[in-house]
Amino acid sequence: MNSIEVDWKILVGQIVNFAILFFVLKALIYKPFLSLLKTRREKIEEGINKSIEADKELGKIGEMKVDLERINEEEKKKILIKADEEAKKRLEEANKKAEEEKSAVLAKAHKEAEAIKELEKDATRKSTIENAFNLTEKLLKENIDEKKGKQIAEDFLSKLKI
Amino acid sequence: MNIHIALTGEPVFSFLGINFTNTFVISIFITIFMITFFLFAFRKREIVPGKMQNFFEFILETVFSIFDGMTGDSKKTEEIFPLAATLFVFILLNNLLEVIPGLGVFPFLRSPSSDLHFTLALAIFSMMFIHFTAIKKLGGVEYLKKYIKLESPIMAFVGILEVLGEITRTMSLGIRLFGNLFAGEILLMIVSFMIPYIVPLPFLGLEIFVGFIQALVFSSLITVFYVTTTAEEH
Repeated sequence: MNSIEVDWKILVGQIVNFAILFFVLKALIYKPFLSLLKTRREKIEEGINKSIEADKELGKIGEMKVDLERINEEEKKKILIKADEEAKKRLEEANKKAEEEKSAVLAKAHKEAEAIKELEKDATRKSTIENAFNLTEKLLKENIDEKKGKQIAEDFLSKLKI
Repeated sequence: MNIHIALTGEPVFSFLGINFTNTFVISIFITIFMITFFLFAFRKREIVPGKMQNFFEFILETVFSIFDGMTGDSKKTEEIFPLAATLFVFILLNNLLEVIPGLGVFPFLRSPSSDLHFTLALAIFSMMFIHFTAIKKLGGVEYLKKYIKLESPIMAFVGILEVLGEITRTMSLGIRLFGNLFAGEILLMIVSFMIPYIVPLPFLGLEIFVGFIQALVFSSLITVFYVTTTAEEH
């Protein structure tokens, strides 16, 4: 067995050998690998952050949807109530108007009936007077007895009945 | 029958005045293999990985999370991860070589981890990297304040101890790995020499475990040293 003797040339050669290996691997493998890992980590973090943001946005949209639905429901109810009130009001107005028109028509009809009645009365009166004049004239022209007079009056009355 | 055990690698050939030992040659082969393998494994870099990319990324991410647990700061982990991961894989591959039949403390083929040159080289390079990064991060003045303390004579002595501490840290890192792997190889060789059948199997399993643990210990210690050296003093 010999003692340990360090050959400096071999030692330096071994150092150079390892240095070449280290710097080549560092430049061609580790640097790109670490940068790839970094890029990938950033992409994953970005993706996760975007996903969290999207979840938040989705939550907000959900809340907005619920709010809108609630507002829509309230609006719908309000519109329905308003429409109902309007319909009632219009119905009342229409009823009132119809009542008024009915009253007006009835009053007009009544007035017209009264006018016709008056006209009829006038016509009857005129006819009666005319007939009375005719009868009197006839009686005065003819020398009539009691029997004949009766006959003439009855004829006259029968005519009147018609 | 004699067993030849050498503490350092056996020279294979000489080039430009450098004696290329068997351990040095094997470590160069492993370097080439690792670069080729990593380039092949990570040739595709898609944001959404395929099966192959996913598998290799899973391995690196697991190693990353182990070191991240030690530093407790993902920024520091990103800074030390390339060194720690390279050390872990490189040492693990070198350690596991010793369990391949034919490789051992033999004159021709030998695991690089059982050569002190290899382990010391890793320790020196790693500590140099840590100290350069610390100077870059803290600034020269702030860095020197860790070792040159002029508040009192006791603090000045503490500063000297800190410098000695850094040297012993480096030495202990290298010698620990060398000692464990060298001892493991000798154990395997002696057991295989005494009883060649079946009996060495549990020891082979133990050596695989030790190889993994030592790779993890080395890279973990480097990570911890990095965190402590680059920490700002309060």
